[in-house]
Amino acid sequence: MVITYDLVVLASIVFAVTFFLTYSFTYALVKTLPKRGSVAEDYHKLSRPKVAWPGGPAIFSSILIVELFLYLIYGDLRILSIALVTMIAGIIGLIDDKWRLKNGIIKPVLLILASLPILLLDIYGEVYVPSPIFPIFGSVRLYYVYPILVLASVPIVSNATNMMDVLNGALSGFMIIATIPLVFSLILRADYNIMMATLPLIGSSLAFFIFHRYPSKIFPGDSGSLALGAMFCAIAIVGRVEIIAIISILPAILNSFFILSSVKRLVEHRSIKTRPTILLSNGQLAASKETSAPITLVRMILAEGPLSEKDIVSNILKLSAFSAFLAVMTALLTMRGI
Amino acid sequence: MGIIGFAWLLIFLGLYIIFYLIVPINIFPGRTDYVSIFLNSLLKVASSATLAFLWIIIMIKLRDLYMKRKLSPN
Repeated sequence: MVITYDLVVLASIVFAVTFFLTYSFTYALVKTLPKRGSVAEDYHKLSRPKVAWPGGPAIFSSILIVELFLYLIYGDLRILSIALVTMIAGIIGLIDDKWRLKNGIIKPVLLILASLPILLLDIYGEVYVPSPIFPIFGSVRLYYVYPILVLASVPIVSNATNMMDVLNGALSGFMIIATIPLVFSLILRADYNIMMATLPLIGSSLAFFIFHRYPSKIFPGDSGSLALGAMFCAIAIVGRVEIIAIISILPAILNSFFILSSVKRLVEHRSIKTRPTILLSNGQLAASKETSAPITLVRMILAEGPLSEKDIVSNILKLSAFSAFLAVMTALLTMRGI
Repeated sequence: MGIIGFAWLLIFLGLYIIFYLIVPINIFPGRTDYVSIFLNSLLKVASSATLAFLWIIIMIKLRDLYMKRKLSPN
């Protein structure tokens, strides 16, 4: 199969429509949320401005509209599963934004529900293949273990992306960069249906980034971060690009592992008492020297010395670009393994 | 970037060990009964899980070493 003119046109439309929808919905939320008192304090600035929050509904509703449109065109159950996973994770995030799920274990358990559409829609074996493809070595059949991995992966990946939502533009910028290798590998594998279903993730993240970048006008909240992470995970599973996705999202995975291993329990990142960073009087951020402070990606970046918020985000995006490069290399090596 | 690059290399090393050392394991050669196949598969899954656990331990040690070096007062 080759990339046709029609495919390029449809891809451009899908990308543009998602971008336009997210941009419009986010713009509306930026205007309306503060009037309703739905704001969050930006702790990393001296003036502690109040920022509109949560912007997640703008992200997952626009993705849902475009994914359902794609499902109507292709009739591919894998696209429907991506849409449902994103929607359920977004709703769980919205519940968390609204009522603050205090217990650290409740959210991951609820997020298992988000992975169910992948398993339930697979009644005809059309949604996932329990044989992940590894670089160089080829695929391996994991008939019994794979469904368990599916159930575990959505909570893990969506929580990992949630933990990346710490600074202005970090999450949305990270998602744009991390998703590019998935599109690249899906083109290599000629899986154009899922490639098309991946474009809304980039289009929506890019539109949201315009409002989320420094200085933020809106925060995504858990409804945004969980929806983006769950969608990324669903694409990796149904598109059979699991290993490439793991490499691409490595900064987020390492960040969450590092946090969880340093606080030694499942926690909600808002509930961590000792802050990993300190806000200096010149507006820069410095790494906390407290031994009890969690070791986060931001604290590791700041271990080199104090930086402005903008510079830290720029460093996070550089790390993401490096991971994306490694993921592209992995995709090329994976093609050798098939 | 160093830690991420190292993590990537370790993943490849782990995959090499899994595919060339763990996958060919057969502790009951010639036996085709369900229990033997199940125990053999269980051993492979446990060995691979141990390797994944080892990856996490190495990454945590590497992180601790990095933070100690960077944050220790000179």
